[in-house]
Amino acid sequence: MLSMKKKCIAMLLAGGQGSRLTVLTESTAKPAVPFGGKYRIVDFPLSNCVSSGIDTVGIMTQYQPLELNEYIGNGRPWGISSNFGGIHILPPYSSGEKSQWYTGTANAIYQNRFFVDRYNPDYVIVLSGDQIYKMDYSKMLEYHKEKDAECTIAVIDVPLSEASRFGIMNCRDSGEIYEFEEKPAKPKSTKASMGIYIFNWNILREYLEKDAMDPSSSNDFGKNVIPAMLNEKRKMFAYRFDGYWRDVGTIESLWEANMDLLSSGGGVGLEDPNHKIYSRNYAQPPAFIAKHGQIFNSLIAEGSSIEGTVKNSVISVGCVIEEGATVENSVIMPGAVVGKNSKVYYSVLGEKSVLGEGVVAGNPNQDKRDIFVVGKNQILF
Amino acid sequence: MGELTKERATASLPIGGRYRLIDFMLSNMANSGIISVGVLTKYNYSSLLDHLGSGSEWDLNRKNGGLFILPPFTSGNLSEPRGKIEAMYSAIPFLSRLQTDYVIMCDASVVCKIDFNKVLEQHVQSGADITAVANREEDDYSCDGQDVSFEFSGETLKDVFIGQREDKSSLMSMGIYVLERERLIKLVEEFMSKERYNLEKDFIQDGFINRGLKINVYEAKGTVLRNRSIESYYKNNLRIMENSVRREFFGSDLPVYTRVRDEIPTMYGDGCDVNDCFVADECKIFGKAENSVFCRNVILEAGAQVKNCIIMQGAKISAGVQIENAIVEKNTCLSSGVSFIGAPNSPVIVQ
Repeated sequence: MLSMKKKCIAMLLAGGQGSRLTVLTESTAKPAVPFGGKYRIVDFPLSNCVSSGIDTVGIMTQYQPLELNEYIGNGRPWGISSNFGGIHILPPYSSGEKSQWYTGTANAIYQNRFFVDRYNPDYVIVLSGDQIYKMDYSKMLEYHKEKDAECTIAVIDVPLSEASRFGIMNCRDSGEIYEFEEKPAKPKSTKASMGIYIFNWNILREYLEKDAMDPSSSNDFGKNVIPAMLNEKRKMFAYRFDGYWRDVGTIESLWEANMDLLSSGGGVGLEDPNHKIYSRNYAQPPAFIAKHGQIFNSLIAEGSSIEGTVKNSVISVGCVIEEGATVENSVIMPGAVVGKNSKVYYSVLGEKSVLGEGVVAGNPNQDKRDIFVVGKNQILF
Repeated sequence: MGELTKERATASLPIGGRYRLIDFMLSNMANSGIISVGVLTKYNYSSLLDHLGSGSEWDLNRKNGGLFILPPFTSGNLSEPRGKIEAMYSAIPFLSRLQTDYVIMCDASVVCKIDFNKVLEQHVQSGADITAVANREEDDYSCDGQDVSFEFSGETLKDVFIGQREDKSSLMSMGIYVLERERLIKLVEEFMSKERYNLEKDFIQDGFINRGLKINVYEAKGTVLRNRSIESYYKNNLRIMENSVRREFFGSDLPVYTRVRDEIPTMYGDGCDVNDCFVADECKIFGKAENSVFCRNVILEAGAQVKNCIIMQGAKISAGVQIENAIVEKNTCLSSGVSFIGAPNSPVIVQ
């Protein structure tokens, strides 16, 4: 659409270090971490934008952005590269007076307020680049408009036993939020914030400016901006999301979300043709399954060569599983090599990592909470 | 090519699970830095157009140069062009607009890896009128009626045969010819006016024998897969899976590019038994398969058995189906209990 004003644009927070993903994010931003054999985490919020009719996305990067930048490119793989709009990578930049790294999630948007202004949108949807889920944001926007809200926060029901790990929204029957508790010891509800917000841009801008002037603020949505809006009784509503959603901020959750794909129709459900997940695809031949290759209940992406045994695992693009090797209950990221007679159990092998001959990674009897990780480009003998 | 090309152009036949024949030549061009490509189409070219799109996969979606589809010129009636020269006649406006010095002509149905820069360099150095790219084929190679063979005595070209060859030391044409662009335009116009339509016979062979045409033959090393019949196409599909051939075509840093589709990785079930197969994305493999190629989005149910087959996209093979030495056409559904067994060199086509 070639118009000067956008109804809603998306701002994607991709700046975090993802330190809980340890060696997987040592040299790469979390949203660029591979997932599901041929995707990257960022493909999910980006593809959701496409399916929701959002054609303008600002991606705020900071930590180790090179790989992410190259992956995003001009946005063509996600069909978001229209003449006016498109995907824009937004690193912190110097604007004459001073240059400043993003100090927090809210600060990242504050520093890019002029970028948003250019599109003069009514609404801004704030997304984070480290979650696996499929969602039609236009439905959330409809809800936001229906309720005449100034801020809508997407929430998902979590088990009461887990609620203390999340930011919990306490709401009235109408859906209106009256209280927000970050990781409450005694949760009053099970509605956890998904870190997905829709704001009326003019309201958000106002609060970002106020927040920027407060030297004691950590410039964070959850810690500062949302509570400030609540305090001043702004109209805030919780939009309930019912589908599959995983925050893949830890090795365990990343591993689990991958494993979820192996049950039929399971996990985030890659198969729905009405809501495809787009990604940047590279030219690869089909997977070659050799005579000695044996596969059980696994996903194998193209370009891979399987000469060993693979069980309950996700094998990504261009991997090599050599003869005599066994891979079980593991996630092998793109380009990794598992050498002859090596054994891999309950592990995540990073991109282009190499296991030499006869290496044993992980433990077949491992408690599923303790996933063995090999970093990107790491070589193990 | 019979049944296989009833609804599609030969160039858009699938090979290697996720490519089309034309991808190999186009990728050779892209990897050689060629930026202007004209594709001469014959008939049934809609699937080819769909596959090629704007040529962006081969870096041809550009402001200088680009991909040009050149529909066939037929002189009033709807029959096929009578030879490459007549086919090229419709390309003359395109050729005239180009600024390049040389033109490389090739057959989209030949699958090989080649660096055109080396060919061009040799052509220029040789000072020949035309350079033909050819390769040596083993004893088991059987000549096609249209095969052009270059016979040498030492370093000197002594004969050009069509439809036969002396022995395995003969250099067999790969259908790739290089000549000066303006020369090509002139020769096409000249030969058309004399009603001579066959490039190989009328220009090359006759030219060599009777009119002192200087031919330089560039010897290509590496595997060449010519797809001229159902049998050869079938054999090539299986051959491309051999370790050495696979590595040759897909192992280098000069990839084969093809139109990409956003497909999910293939799922392999618990009871599957797969040996020496190529499997593209978006398949569901639960059955038994040996020495076969699976294009995208194929379902192989548990209890199905496939051996030495080429399964095209979207096919569904139910439990209890047994197929051997066959080509299964795209989107074919094979219900339980059916069985198709072709002969080893003569596959049955299932649709």
